[in-house]
Amino acid sequence: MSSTIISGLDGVSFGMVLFFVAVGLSLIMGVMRILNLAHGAFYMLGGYVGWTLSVRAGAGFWMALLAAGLSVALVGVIAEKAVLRRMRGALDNQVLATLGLLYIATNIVIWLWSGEPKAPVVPSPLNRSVQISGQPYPLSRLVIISAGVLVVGGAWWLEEHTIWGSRLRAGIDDRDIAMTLGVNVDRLSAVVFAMGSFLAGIGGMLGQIFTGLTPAQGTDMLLLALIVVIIGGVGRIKATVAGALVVGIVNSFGYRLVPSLAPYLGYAVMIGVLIVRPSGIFGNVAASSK
Amino acid sequence: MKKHALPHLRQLLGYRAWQLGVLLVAGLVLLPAVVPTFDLYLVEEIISLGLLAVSVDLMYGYAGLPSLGQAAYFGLGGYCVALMMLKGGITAAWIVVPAGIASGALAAAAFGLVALRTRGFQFLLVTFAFGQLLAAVAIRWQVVQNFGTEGLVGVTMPNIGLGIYWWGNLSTYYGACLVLVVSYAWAKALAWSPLGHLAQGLRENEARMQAFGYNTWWCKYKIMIAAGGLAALGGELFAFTSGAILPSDMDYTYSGLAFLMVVLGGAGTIDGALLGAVVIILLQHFVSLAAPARWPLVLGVVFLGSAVAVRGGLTAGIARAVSVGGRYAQNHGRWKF
Repeated sequence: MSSTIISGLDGVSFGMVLFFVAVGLSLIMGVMRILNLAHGAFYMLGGYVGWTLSVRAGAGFWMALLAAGLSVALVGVIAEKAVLRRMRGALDNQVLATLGLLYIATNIVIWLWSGEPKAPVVPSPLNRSVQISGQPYPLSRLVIISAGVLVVGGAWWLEEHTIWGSRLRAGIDDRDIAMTLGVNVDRLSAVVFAMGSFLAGIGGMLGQIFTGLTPAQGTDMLLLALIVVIIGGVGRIKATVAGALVVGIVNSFGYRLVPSLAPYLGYAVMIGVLIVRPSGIFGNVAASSK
Repeated sequence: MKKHALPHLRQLLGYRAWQLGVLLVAGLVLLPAVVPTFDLYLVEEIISLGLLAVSVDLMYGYAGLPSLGQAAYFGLGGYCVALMMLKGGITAAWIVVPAGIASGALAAAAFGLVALRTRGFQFLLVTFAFGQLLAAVAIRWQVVQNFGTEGLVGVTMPNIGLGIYWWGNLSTYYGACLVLVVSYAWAKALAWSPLGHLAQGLRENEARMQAFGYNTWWCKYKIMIAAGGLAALGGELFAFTSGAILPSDMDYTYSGLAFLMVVLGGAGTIDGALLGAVVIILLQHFVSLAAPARWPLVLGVVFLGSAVAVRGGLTAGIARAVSVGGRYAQNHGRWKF
């Protein structure tokens, strides 16, 4: 029983990190119709920037977290303005450009920080355990869960209950009609891109608490985020939450129950979802068919 | 999908296309006379990855299916022949080569049932995930590893059973060239066949082809199987000529590279895919000689540059140059191409 709770908590906390990465990917796909394969690299950059600030420069964890998010948001805005904006509708160019950014970011990370894995940085007030059903459990993961719940709640509120949210949903469901009705979809896209990159950077700093840092993470997290998006569906907050929780929980229970098959379980769920419902659990059929 | 305002190179050159072909084949035959024997492996690499690029072109350039997991079939073909030769002891080319092609085609047939339920960038995500899945299996599965390496090493050229047991550098090179010529002819025949035309039609407007009464799903499915088999053949050739097949040969690296070759050369032309392979592999060779650690950085810049600057690819560029030259010749009566 207690190990079930522990695995559940592990799954939810990792799912929250996945949400931070995947939400940007999914909304950018929805509103800009752009597939950003460099999004995993944004996550990785956030981790490295935050790690450097807290280990080398001695910044506090929360400062490093904020700086990681902001610097990645800056990179994202530059990438969007300089390159991606002009590639709407040309899937081949999007793939090449964002894959190129992924290569460049990975190689620069290896150049600046070497390929050696980095040990996780845990903020000192959180670096202890609490007792959960008789077993010690790292407090930092509980904090990640609560931070995730806050962000999910905030994003969901923004999406469903504010005028920006309705504009966003309109832009995702039917871009042309939304523009006719006076929604500035380009500006909306830029804001979504910046916020998505910001969350990816934050996710990178939080994710390194689990995994430490390696230059391969850009690709690994990209892959997990893609699976989250395929399972959940494109263009809705609740879709990304569902996908992220499914992948996180399948992952943690998989490693406890069937360790040898665990790396493949996410794919299995993905294939199952594709067979039953190709647009994802909460998929927006309009957004995913374009 | 980019629309080519300019005619294809073949149409511009007209009946001269076969002359150009003869010239290129003669060049391939005579190449060992000018290139050091050791460097012929570069041509073999170009051919293997060129076949992978052609299979991406069949998928994306013809049928409009953006596959970012085509290297999965490439790796499957390589692993299939390597397993049969190293662990099964079967070296007869007449068995291992068709078996490798079949492995790629069968995998595509199985995976196509799932992947073709999606379209557009979801298709791309699903194929990407499929390639990474197979690479992840190859990294962890002991059966597809030997000598304590990550993959299967020590693959040799197969025995073609004509009393030739020994493959030297030259015969390996000519074998690879033969595979290239046969596959190129096959891919062109497929592209010009009714199936190829139907694929191009549904790439431009699938709903309209359906309204005409065509079964577009079946067409995409057949193209996917054909492209899977071709990619597997490329992987076999890669394993035979390089002597090894590794998990990293089937992940997104080669899939992305093949995609780059297609877009750089010009999608939907087949010639463009091969031209792209020549450019990228040579670039890789020379950059790696100069600065091995920075190759991914240069590659990233090439990726980014092709996305920003390339319109229609190298073949369209050449066609443009030829048509400008032709117009010049018509106006001035000096020379005709």
